[in-house]
Amino acid sequence: MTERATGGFAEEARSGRREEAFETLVTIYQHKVYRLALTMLRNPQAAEDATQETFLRVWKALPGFRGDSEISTWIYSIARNRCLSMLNRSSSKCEIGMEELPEQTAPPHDPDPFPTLMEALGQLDGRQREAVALFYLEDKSYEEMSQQMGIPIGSVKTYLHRARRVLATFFQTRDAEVPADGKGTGQ
Amino acid sequence: MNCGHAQDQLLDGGFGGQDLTGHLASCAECRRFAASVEAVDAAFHRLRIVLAPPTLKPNVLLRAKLEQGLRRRLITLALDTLAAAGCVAALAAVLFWIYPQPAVTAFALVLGCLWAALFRGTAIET
Repeated sequence: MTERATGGFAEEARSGRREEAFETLVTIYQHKVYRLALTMLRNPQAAEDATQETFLRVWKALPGFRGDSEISTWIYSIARNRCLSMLNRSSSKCEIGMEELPEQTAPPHDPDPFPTLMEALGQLDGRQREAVALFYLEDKSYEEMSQQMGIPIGSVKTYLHRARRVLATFFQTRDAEVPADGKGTGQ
Repeated sequence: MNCGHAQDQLLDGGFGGQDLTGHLASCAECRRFAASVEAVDAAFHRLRIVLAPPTLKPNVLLRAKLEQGLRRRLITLALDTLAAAGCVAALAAVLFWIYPQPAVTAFALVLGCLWAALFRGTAIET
C-alpha cells in the first residue's frame, strides 16, 4: 500500500479511474481522519462534517496530487487544517455534548472512556490538540511532527509536554472527584 | 530527584530509571500523577479503535458525485452558451452580408438571442 500511497492513487485518478481511487482512499482513511477530527473538535457531528469536507477536498485535488509526500500525510494535513480553521472560526460550536458520543464507538469493556478524554481535550488549544493527535493517533516522530506542524522540534516537545501535563492533571482532578472505583488508570 | 523532575520525566515518556522509580516509591503525589499519565495514554489507546459512523462513506461518495455532476453541468452549460452565441454571431454576419441593412440584422440578432435563450433553457432542464 505504501508504494501506491506515494502517487499511485493520483495516477489512477488521472488515468480516468478517479472514482475507484477515491473510494479506496475513503475506505482506507475514513476512520483515521474521523478520529483525528474527533480529537481536535471533540464533537462527533463536527468531526463527521470535517471528515466529509476533508475528503471532498481530496476528491477535487486528487488528480493534481504530485506525490511529493505520502498520500496519508497529505490527507491528514488537509484534515488538520480543516479542523484548525473550524476551531478558529467557531470554537463554541465545537463544544461537545458528552451524550452525543455514539455508543457503538466505545469499547465494551469500558462503557464511558471518551467523555473524560474529550472534556480534557477541551483544556487544550488547537495546536496542542494537533500535537497530541499526531503523537497518539498517527504515531509520528518528533521530526515528522515538526515538519507537519511547521515548527521546530523543541516547540513540538514543548507543546506535547504541556498538553500531556494538562491532560494528566485533568484526569487526576477527575479521579480525585470521583469516588474510588478502580476506573481510569489504564493498564 | 524532586517532584518537578519526576513529573517532567513521566511526561516525556520515561517511566523507567532508578531515580524515578525510587522517587515514585516514596511520593504518593507523583504516583497519582504517574497513574494519570498512564490513564491519558490508555484513553488515547482506546480512542484508536473508534470507527467513523457508517453513514460517512456513502455521504462522502454522494457529495463527490454531486460535485462532479455540478461541475460537468457547468462546463456543458458554458459550452452550450458559447455554441449558441457563435451561431447567433454567424447568423448576424451572414444576414448583414446578404442584406446590409442594420434593421434586418438587428431583427435577426434578436431572433437569434431568443433562440439561444430557449436552447439554453432546454439544456438546463435536461
